[in-house]
Amino acid sequence: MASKTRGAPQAPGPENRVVELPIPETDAALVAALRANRADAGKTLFKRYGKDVERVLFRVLGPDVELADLLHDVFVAALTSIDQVRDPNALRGWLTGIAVRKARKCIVKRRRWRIIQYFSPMDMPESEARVTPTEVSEALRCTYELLGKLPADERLAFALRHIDGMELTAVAAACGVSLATIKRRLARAQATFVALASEHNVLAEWVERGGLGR
Amino acid sequence: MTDFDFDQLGAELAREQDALLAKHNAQAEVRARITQLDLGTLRKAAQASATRRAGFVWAVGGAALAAAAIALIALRGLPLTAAPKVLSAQLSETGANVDVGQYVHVPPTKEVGLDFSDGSHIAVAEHSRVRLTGLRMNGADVSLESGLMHVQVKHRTETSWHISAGPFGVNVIGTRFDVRWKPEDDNFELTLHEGKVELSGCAFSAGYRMVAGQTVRTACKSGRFAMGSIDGSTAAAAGSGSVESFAAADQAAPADPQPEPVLEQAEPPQQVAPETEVPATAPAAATRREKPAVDKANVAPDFRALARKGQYAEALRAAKAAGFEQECARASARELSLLATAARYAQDTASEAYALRLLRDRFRGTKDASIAAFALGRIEFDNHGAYAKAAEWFRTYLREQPRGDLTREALGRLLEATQHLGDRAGVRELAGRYLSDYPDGPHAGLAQRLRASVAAP
Repeated sequence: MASKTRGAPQAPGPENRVVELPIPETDAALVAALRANRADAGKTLFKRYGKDVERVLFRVLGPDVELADLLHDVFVAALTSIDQVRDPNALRGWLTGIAVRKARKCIVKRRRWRIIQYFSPMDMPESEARVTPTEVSEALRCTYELLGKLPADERLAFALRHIDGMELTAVAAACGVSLATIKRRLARAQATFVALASEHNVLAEWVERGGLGR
Repeated sequence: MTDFDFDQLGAELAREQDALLAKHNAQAEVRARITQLDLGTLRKAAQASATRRAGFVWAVGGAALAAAAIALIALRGLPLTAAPKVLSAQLSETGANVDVGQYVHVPPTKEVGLDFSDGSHIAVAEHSRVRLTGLRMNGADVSLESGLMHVQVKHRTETSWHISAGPFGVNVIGTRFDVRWKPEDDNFELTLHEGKVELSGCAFSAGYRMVAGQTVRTACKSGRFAMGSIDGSTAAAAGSGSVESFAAADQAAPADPQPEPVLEQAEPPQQVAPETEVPATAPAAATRREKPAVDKANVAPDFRALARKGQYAEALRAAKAAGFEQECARASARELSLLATAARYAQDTASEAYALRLLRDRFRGTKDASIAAFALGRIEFDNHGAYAKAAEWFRTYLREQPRGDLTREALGRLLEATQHLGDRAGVRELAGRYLSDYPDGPHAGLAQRLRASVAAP
């Protein structure tokens, strides 16, 4: 059992000069370290929240070729605007807000680009990523195909609430709008999703069943 | 409206996404990119970019508004300065940056100066230990772990400095004072030369405001403090004033405490030289007074100092020599954690558990108390093989810190403990939960194996 070795930690040695201590585990301490431009603070921020942010981006965008770049952009934005954090203890929520705004910007930018390219025979790839198509289930592929047709704000609300499982208040905070607005967006997203799914080759059957597994 | 089950669809998709992320995440790639970033350069570039954007906006649409604002500022006589930045700190002698979290251990031969970018200065006396715990645009947080420092804070609009010394706190606006903290004797002393400060902690409770010319001494365990004036006490008790003598007086008559003992302060106000060189008079004299031969023989080593040096076995011995339970009873949450750590490294599980349980009792509801619950679970699991008790402690941590720093570990250890208890339903539920929350966590392999084994008929 691996746990038997846990009882014998290595005692750190004494220090007698200016030494760099690990950044304390609180968010407030991490924010202070970031504001002080401490060398390892960016790495620590990513270590603590990199997975959370990537998960949020994945929830909103699905398998996406730009996921790594967006993840990078979120952290660069966070590192350059750390002075704007109002509540250092709510770092996770603040980063989620940045991730949501970056994802929204990406969706809107692609939509504009698609309009410009309207007469081109080439369509913009949206569902290709380091994840190969064969690994993606039909449910995932079709859902994001439909989400791609929703307005950006409604897509965000739908993905954060239903796929990531966030509380409505957290979704509202991440999107920077009121709870009532999020409820309206979510209701519109659900209605549009069902309407689109009813006409979809694969998803029409789900709608009849009321879900995936019924 | 439809009765389509969106949550069920979302949960299915989330599970699939988590599995895909576990296999194909961008963490390593982006971590490498982030690690290469130079935060200072990055932020300067961002500020420059923001300034350019702001300049463009102003040029196009806000020239009149800017002119009005500048005129208003000029009329009010306010200086036109750049946007405030977070303070920085350097060692006076070398100019080396001191970052938040860094610890300054002053050698026995000379004091060390810390220069702050707002013009404030702290001279840390010989043998002292100081840690920089925060830097803000309008101030800094400094922790005096032990010893003496001379503080000179430049007063500006909304200046906010905080000095902590053990259980005591000093809120500073703009002032000059000397503060001394001897954790081994539980002695705190502050002499305020200019300005005003607000003290907190122990006898000062939530706040006690001092004005220039006052000096105060206290010991947390005594629950009282002695306040006097610099001038008056100098005349009253020249030559006898030192923290040691105060402590000795306190210990000599513990059963007959005076309500407001007269302060025996003899030190004249000391100017802090901004240079690195040791002032020829006051600090050296203060250092000499700190080491009378008779005190050296009598003063027992303090567990905090020893533990912070990494001498854990000695720290535990010192705490036991001073009365382990009494030390625990008056220790702060951090000191209890320190005691528990010392006991752990000294492989004294009983003492570690005692400190941890007291930490939970005395500081209920704090993050430290939750971490203590996790540590108690680890002790029950690793040292006693008491898996039911261990499981209860890990559950306690998870209940108190559902998104804490140790949540993943607590869930994994709870899974292990549940496995030892032979609770198949619990294992199934916990393994599923672990894999859902931490598909690439350290217990993921075990969770997969256990889930497969309990699913088998």
